[in-house]
Amino acid sequence: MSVIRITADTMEQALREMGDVRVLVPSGAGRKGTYVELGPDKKLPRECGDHTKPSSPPKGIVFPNNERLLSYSLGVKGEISVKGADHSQKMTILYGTPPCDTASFRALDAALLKDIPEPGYARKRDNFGVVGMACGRQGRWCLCTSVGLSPRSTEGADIMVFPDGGDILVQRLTGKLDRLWKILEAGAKTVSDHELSSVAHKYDFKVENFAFTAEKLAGALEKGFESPYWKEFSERCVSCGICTFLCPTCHCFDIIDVPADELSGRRVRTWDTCQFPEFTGETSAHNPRKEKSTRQRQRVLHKFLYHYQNHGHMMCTGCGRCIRYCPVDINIAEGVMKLGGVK
Amino acid sequence: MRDYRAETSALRQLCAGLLEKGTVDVVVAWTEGEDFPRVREMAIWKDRADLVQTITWSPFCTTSTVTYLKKNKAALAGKKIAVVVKDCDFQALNVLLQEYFVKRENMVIIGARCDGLAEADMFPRPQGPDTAMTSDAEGVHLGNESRRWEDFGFTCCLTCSYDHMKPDHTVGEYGRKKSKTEWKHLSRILAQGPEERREHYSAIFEACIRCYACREVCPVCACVECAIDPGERAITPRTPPADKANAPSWASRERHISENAVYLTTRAMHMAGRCVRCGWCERACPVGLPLMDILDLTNDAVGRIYGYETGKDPSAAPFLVSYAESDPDDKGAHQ
Repeated sequence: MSVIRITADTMEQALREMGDVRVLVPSGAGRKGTYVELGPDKKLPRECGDHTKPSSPPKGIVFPNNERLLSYSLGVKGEISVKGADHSQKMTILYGTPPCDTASFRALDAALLKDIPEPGYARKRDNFGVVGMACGRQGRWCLCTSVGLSPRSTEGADIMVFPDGGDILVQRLTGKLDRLWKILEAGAKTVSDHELSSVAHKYDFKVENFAFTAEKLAGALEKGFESPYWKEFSERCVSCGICTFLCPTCHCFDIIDVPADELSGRRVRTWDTCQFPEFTGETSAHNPRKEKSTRQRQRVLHKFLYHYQNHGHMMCTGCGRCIRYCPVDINIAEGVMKLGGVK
Repeated sequence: MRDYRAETSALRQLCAGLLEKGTVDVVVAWTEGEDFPRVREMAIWKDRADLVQTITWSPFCTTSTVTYLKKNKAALAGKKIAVVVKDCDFQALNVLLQEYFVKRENMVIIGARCDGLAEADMFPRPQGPDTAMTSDAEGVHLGNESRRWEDFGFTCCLTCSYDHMKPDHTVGEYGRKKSKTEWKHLSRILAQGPEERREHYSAIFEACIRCYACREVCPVCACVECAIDPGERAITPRTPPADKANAPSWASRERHISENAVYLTTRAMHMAGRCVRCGWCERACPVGLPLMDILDLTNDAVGRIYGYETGKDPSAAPFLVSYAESDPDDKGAHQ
């Protein structure tokens, strides 16, 4: 059986007793929150939802905003030495993410591991597991049910947790966190499929902020490339990077060389965003996305069309951060609905 | 008690009149969004004068119409523009006027007297778009819900003492007394020792994700090319490769405490005599950094040491970029 019922305290104890493992949990909701280490003074989250969701997404754990790729130096005799960065990291467990953040790893994996795996991400991902949690409270900007997910979906999770009173139902989905699973499983009560679905059903609430199903709109979006609406949609955009930097699945980056002195330096990867005009600047001075309407179009279509065509799932996980934190109230759901003819 | 519904309808009437009479080609104002009470800046052209009915004015107008003017300069060039501003936007507009960034004769300035701003997220929603919006000396009321001014924690609004804008038209009357208030956040920092202060600022620099939202929303950040990330804008097909490669880089793109510090402190220095303390950067910051803790160090110096009031007089010489031929340091330079 792969579903057990334990108390939340048992889970906390097991995670703390694992020893050489880093456990990350949301530190708080909104702008002040992020994902931090579960210190001795911190309690393991017992529930999750919009009220526990930090403004920063968890992607930075395996895809940091600032990542050294290699360092180089020129020796006194002219010998060149290049040293690749060590991407290994301590086994890390992310605990208590809502399904939108949990599913972000499905999208990131599709982009960064398929075909040619990206070594830095792959190495970190190897030592990283996600314990997702069913979401108990929707927010004003949530749209998970519009993008093929739901408050109880398990996409991206290695282990899924369904809070049920003081207990939690724990479902094993992959073998990645089997060390934790074995500790939890010992002496625990197994749960029937029927019980699991009746508990999970509590999380089947409808998220109704935006009434559309993204999959059904893919065709309309494809036809909407030349739509004059993009101009209206982006008119007040200030071209900052909030929507993409806070997006749990945006993964564009820039690589720069930073000289330390005349003879040595390092190569660093940082987050970049399609919203910066420089992003598509070419050395010839040509820029295919000079207008902000074309940049916003890229953001929306990458999330709702291209990634879907390539990988079969939406790149948007419906967390609503880009809508909530946009300084000028640009709303991606509204854009998709208008282009898709729903609104 | 101020009734923003009433003030909004007066504003709509005023704007409709300006468009109808042909006084202006376009009105830049806050309009109702899909997500009441959040607002959106919009340019309403005379061929779509019906959109005037979407114009709104309330403490939820936390964005800046002046940033909109700046960002859409090309589309608005040469047009007669009516722009709705609140007190801090008016000051920002004065800064741009000082530098001839916009032309006064092309503008009709409509000043909405502001008592302070309110955060839409602090109110339970959804509320219908017809919900009553009022405010008094205590705070803001949306329908049956009330929040005190202090609840929103907007540093700039809580310390705003500006109440003397001179626009062409005004909307509303001040509903609370704005008096000079101590910048407590700053006095707290100035009382710190160097170690403590280093710790305080290091935490801010460390957490910055360099999304540049603070720079982009700023109504007075007006450089075409930013010193921090000179991009393709200065490059033309004729720019030689060596010039591209050697373009000065004051801070690398590394998201690292030292580079972030260069970005944030450079911004503060460049904002000396420009920052009108509208506080939008701090409100926009997605990771909640107290940016006024940095900017107010220079703002304080500009006022206290140099006695300069930013955004007061559109005909005054700008604080840092003025030039006098009589400058003794420059003698001989032009001969």
